Amino acid sequence: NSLQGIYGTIPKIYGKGDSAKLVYQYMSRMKNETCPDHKSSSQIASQIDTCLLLDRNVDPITPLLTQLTYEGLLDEFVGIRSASCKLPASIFKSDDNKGLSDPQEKRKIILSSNETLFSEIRDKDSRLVGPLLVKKLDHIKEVYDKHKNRETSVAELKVFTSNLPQLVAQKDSVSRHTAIATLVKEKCQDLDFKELIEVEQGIMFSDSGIMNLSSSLEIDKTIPFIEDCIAKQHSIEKVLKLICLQSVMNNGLKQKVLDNYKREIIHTYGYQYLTTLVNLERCGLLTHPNARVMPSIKKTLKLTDPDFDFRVATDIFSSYDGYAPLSVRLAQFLLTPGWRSIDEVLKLLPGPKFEQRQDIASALQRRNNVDDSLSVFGNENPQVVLIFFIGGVTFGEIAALRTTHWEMS
Amino acid sequence: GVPLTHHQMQSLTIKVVIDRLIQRNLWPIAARMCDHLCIPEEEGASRVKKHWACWKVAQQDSIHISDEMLAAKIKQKLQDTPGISYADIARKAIECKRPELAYQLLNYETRASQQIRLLIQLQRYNAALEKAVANGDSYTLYDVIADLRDYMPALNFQSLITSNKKALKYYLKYLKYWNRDMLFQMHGQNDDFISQGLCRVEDSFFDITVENKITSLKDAKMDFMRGKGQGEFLQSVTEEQIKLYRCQQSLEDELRSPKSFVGLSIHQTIVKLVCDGQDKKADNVRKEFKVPERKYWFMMTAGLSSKRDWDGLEKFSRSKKSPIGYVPFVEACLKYDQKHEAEKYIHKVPPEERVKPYLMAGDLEKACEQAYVNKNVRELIRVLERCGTANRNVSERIHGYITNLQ
Repeated sequence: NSLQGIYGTIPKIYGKGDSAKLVYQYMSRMKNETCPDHKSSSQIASQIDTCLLLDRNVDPITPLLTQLTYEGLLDEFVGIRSASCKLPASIFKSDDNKGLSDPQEKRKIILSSNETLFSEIRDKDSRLVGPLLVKKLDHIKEVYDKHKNRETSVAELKVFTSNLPQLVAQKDSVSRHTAIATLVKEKCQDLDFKELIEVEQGIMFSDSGIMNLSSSLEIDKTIPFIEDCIAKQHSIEKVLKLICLQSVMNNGLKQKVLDNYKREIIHTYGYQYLTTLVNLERCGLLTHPNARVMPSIKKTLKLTDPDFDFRVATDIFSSYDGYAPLSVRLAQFLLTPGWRSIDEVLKLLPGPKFEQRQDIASALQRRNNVDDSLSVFGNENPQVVLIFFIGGVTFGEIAALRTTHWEMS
Repeated sequence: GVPLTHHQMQSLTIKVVIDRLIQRNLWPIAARMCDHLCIPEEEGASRVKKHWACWKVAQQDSIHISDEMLAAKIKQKLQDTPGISYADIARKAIECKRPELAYQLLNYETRASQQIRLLIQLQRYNAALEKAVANGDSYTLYDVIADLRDYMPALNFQSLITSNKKALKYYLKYLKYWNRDMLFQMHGQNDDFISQGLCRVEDSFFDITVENKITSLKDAKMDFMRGKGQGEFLQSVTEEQIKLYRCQQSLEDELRSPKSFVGLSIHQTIVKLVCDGQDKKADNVRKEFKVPERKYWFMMTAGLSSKRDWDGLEKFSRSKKSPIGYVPFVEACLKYDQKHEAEKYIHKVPPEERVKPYLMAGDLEKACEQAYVNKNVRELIRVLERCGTANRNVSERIHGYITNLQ
C-alpha cells in the first residue's frame, strides 16, 4: 500500500496462489481504509503498469535446485545477506598483509549493482566469469602500458590522469572479484559438488511420469546416490533438498522408496528430524504418488532444454544450466501472449489465479503510446512490471528475470 | 437568524461559532456556514454531521424505527462526507444502550481496528473474530484471540476458535510456545492424533532422564496408533527409538560414560563406539538394529579414520570384499591428509573407476594417464578442468590424448 502511495496506483494486478489472493485482498482493504472514497486517493501518476503476485508454492522446484550463476553460487557457498557477504580475508592478497592475516578473519564484501563489474558478472553462469575477468584485467593493463612509453603527448597524459581514479577503482574491483571467483571455482571443482549437480540435472531432465527407460534409469541412479550421501553423513539440507526435488519432479515417490528415505534419515541424523519429515509431507514437498501433472507442465512451459549450451547463449536457461525457473516462465507468459494461452497448465498449479484492475483516473495512467501520431517521443516507454514473490525468491530467479528476453506483443 | 458582528466572530473564532450552532442542534445552518467559509470537510461538515448522528441515536422517540433502518438512514445522510468515524457514532449508541444499532453502524466502519474493538465490547465475538481474520494483521488477530479467551467462557471459546480455520492456526501456533498442555488438548479436540503424538515427541526431548523420555515416547506411540495415514510408520520408528534409548542407556552404564550416547542417532552411536575402540559393542548394535552391511561399512570407515587407526582400517578393508568399493576408504584417508594411506586403497579400486580417486588425491598426472588407458574422453575433460596454470604440461598432454581418441 505504501508503495502505491509513492509510485501511484497500479492498474493491472495478476496473481496465482492462495497467499497471492490474500495479499491482494489485504491490499485493497488497506486502500479502502486509508482513503474510503476516491477523491482523496493518490494523485500521483502511476509508474508501474502491472503487478504480479506469485505464491512460493506455485514454484517449489526452483529453490530446491543449486543456483549456478556467480551471485547464486556465492549465496550457496557463503550466504548473501542484505547484499553483502563475509569471506575469509586471506583470499585477498594485499601488499601490506603478506600472509600475516589470520585465516579465521572474515572480511565483509558489499555486492551491489553500483559496482559496474559486479552487475555485469553476477547473473552469468559462473564458468563464464573467469575468462571474462582475465579479459578485463588485460584490458586495464593495456591502458596502463599505453602511457608508459615516452611518446604520449601532454594532452593524452592529462586525459589519462583524469581517468586514473576510475581506472584504479576498476582494477580494485577486478582483483577483488578475481579472488572471489577463484574461491567459487575451487568449491565448484569439489567432486561431491559436481556429482550433486549431475544428479540434479538427471532428475530435471528425465522424462518424469512416463515410465520409460530413461526415467527408471534416472531413479536407479538417484536413489543409491542419495542413500550414499546419507551414509556418508552429508549435510541434511542437501539430502532433504534432493529427495524433495525428486518427489516434486516425479509427482510423488513410491511408498517403499519414501519410507526407506525417511527411515534412513532418522537412523542416520537422529529422531529429532521426525517432525521435519512430517511437516515436509504436510506441505506437499514430499508425497506419495499423486496426479501426474509434471510432464505436461514441463512440456507446455518448456521448462528444460537439454541442448542448452552455456557458452553460446545467455537467457532464461542460464541460471540453472538448462532449466527455466517456473515462476519466471509464468511471468514471461503473462506478458506475452497472456495467461489465457496456458490456462490448462495454470489449473494444474496450486492455488487460484486472479486478474484485477484497479481504477485510476485516465489522466494518471502511464503513457504507452505506440501509435499516437502526436507523440513527441518516437519510442514507446517500456512497460514496468512489479513482480512480488510471496515466500521469498532465489538469486537464480532474479538473474533469470534479468537475462530473459522479454518480447512484447 | 442570529445576527453576529464580525468583531464577535473574530473573538469567538469560527470553530467556536460552529460548535455553538451544533450545540443548539442547528445543523443545517452550521453545515451551510462550513460550506460558505470553505472549511475543510474533516473539520467542518464532518463534525456537524457526526453530532447530528449522535443526537439522532440518542433520540428516544426514534425507537419505533428498526435499528437497521435507522443505521441505513444515517449512512445515507453521511455517505458523501469523508472522515466520518462510524465507530464514534456506534460508541454513542452503546452509551444510549442501543447495542443492536451500534452493531449495524459498525458494519459501515472501514477501519478494522476500531470495528473489532467495539465488536468485542458488544460481545459479538464471532463477528469480531471473522473481521480480525479478514483484516490480515497478525498482531491484531493475536490480540483479539487473547481478548476472546479472557472474556468468553471456555467452552464457547473452544468451539468458536475451532470453527474458524484460520484463527485456529494462529491459536495453535501461539499455544506451541506458551501453553503446550492446551495445545495437546486442542489437537485432541480436532481428532488430530498424529499432532498429539508429535507434541509428545517434542516434549520427550525436554525430558532429562531416559526413563521419562521412554514414557513420553510410549504415550506418543499410543497416539500414533490411533492416527491415520502416516501413523503406522511413525509408530514403528518411535518403537525403534525407545529401543535405542534403552540400548544407549545400558552402553553408558557399562562403559561408565554418562551422557555420551543418549541422543545420538543409530549411525552416530556406532561410529562413536568404533571411535572409542568398542568394536564388539558396535557390532552388537548393528545386529540389534539390523543395519545393512553397506551402511555399516561406511560407519566403520568413518569411525576408524576419525580415530586415525590406519592399521585398523587396513585390516578391516581386508576382512572381506568391500560392499562399498574402496573409494570411500580413499576419501576417509584424504580427509585426514593421509595421502600415503589413500594410495594403498586406490590400487584396490578397479581401473575403470580409478580416475575419481586420483583426482581427489590431487594426482593429476596419474589421473590423466588412467583416463587415457580407460579410453574415456569425458574423464579426460574432467581432469583437464582441474588443471590450472601450474599443470600446463599435463593439460597439453590431455589435449593430445583427446585428439588421439577422437
